[in-house]
Amino acid sequence: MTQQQKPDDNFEERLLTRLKAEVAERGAEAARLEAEEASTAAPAWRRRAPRLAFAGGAAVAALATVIAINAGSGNGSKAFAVETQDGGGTTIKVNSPEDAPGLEAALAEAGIRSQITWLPAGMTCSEPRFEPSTVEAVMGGTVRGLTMAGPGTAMTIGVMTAEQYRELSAEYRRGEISGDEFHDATGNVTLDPTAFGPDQSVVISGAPGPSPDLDVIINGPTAPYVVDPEGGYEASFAIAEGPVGSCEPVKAPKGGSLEEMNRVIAEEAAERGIKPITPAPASAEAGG
Amino acid sequence: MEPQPALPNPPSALSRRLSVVAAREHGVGPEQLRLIGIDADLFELFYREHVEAVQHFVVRRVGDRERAADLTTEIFLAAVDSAHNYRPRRGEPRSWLFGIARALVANEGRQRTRQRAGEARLRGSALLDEDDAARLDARIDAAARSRQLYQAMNRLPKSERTILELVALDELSLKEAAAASGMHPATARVRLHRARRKLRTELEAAATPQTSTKEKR
Repeated sequence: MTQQQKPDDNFEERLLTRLKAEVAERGAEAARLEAEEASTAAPAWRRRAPRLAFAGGAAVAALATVIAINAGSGNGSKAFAVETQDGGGTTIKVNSPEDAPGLEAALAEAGIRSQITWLPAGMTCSEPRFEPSTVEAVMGGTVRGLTMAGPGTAMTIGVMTAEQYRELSAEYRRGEISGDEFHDATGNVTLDPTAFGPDQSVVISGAPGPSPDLDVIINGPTAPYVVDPEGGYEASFAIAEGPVGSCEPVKAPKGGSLEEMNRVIAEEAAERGIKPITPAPASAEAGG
Repeated sequence: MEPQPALPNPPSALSRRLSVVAAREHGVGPEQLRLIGIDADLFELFYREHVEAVQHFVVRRVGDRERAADLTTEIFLAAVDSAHNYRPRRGEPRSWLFGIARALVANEGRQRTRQRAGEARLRGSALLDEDDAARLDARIDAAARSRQLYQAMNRLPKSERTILELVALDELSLKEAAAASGMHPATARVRLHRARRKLRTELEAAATPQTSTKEKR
């Protein structure tokens, strides 16, 4: 917190409060426009690539609320929860990196082939073991893979057709559902089973930790691998073209796949004209 | 032809949070500035970084506390409005903000007589209480000499006046001032030089007997 000393009720603070409200309103408007754009842009990538959507703005709020509902209630196993959406879609919330076969089955039932590997903390699958498919995201840009980290439902997979996705975003636009509800239903990845080719499948691997502390994400971990005390995990998500080799567990590089995550963020940021933040080198490492 | 989108696409949740963390450490830089119009956290950092400078900027030109409060508000509202159009070549965030402030204060002079109440989204003066008023008045008093100088610049050509204002009054570096007023640094240097010379002759000519032009020690 960057709080000044004074208990501040003065002009500057009052003005700040009012201006922040103004900015927040605009942020909401921007998120609304984004959803609108996403829904109209969808048909462009109809044919080949599996559909992958990323949750934008409102996910910040979602992340905060998610912590409270952490240990997975609801149907499915404790490790994940399956919710059926009114429009016919399915949302799978992955609460913890456990019960890989169960999650595979849940995805299969929703129409998605997958290979899921959960590993002990500090481990990762040796790469490469499949050919990653290049996927166009609804929000623009191409994605070859994606890493998510955080406590609770770091990974929420929405499985629904593009029509259902559009319908949800239209409901959001019309104000029938809130931004949180929209993101809750579509997840931080949205997959359209009808867009998958016969050789394409989803590959997810992950492990407990690291701490989702942003300082850690930016500066790299100070310890070799920090397991998040709140039960956070990280999961890499990719779509494979063709066969997927089995996971051969190897020691995760320092910082897990956060470097990869930073790379993806940097790419995404570059597309939007935002200069990426260069992660500072981990302090303990000797300079080259 | 597609119209220019009014607002930028929001970045992903994570890159947004990363921006906030970076801004907390290093100030709101050119990378984050475009987002201050849609991200309240980034805006707060930006505001705290610059609000004092903006107020000083205003009271060096305006001697009325209500108007100073209104102008401060309008400057930040304008920043929020145009942040998405910001390009790094327009200079550092501070220069950019001072450019906005300058345009608004200059415009304010022309608009003062007109009715402005109707169009104001947010009236800063309505947020003032007694303590603020006293504090602002003190600030306004302290800036009295700057305002005299500001008045004295009135007869300079606009381009020269602009650069002198920013350098002499607001203590921007020549480079920052050039960026804030959209001039090439070399042009700015020439104009600054001319403006200083003219102003000096003018002040000397207008000097009353009791104000010595220079103090020697």
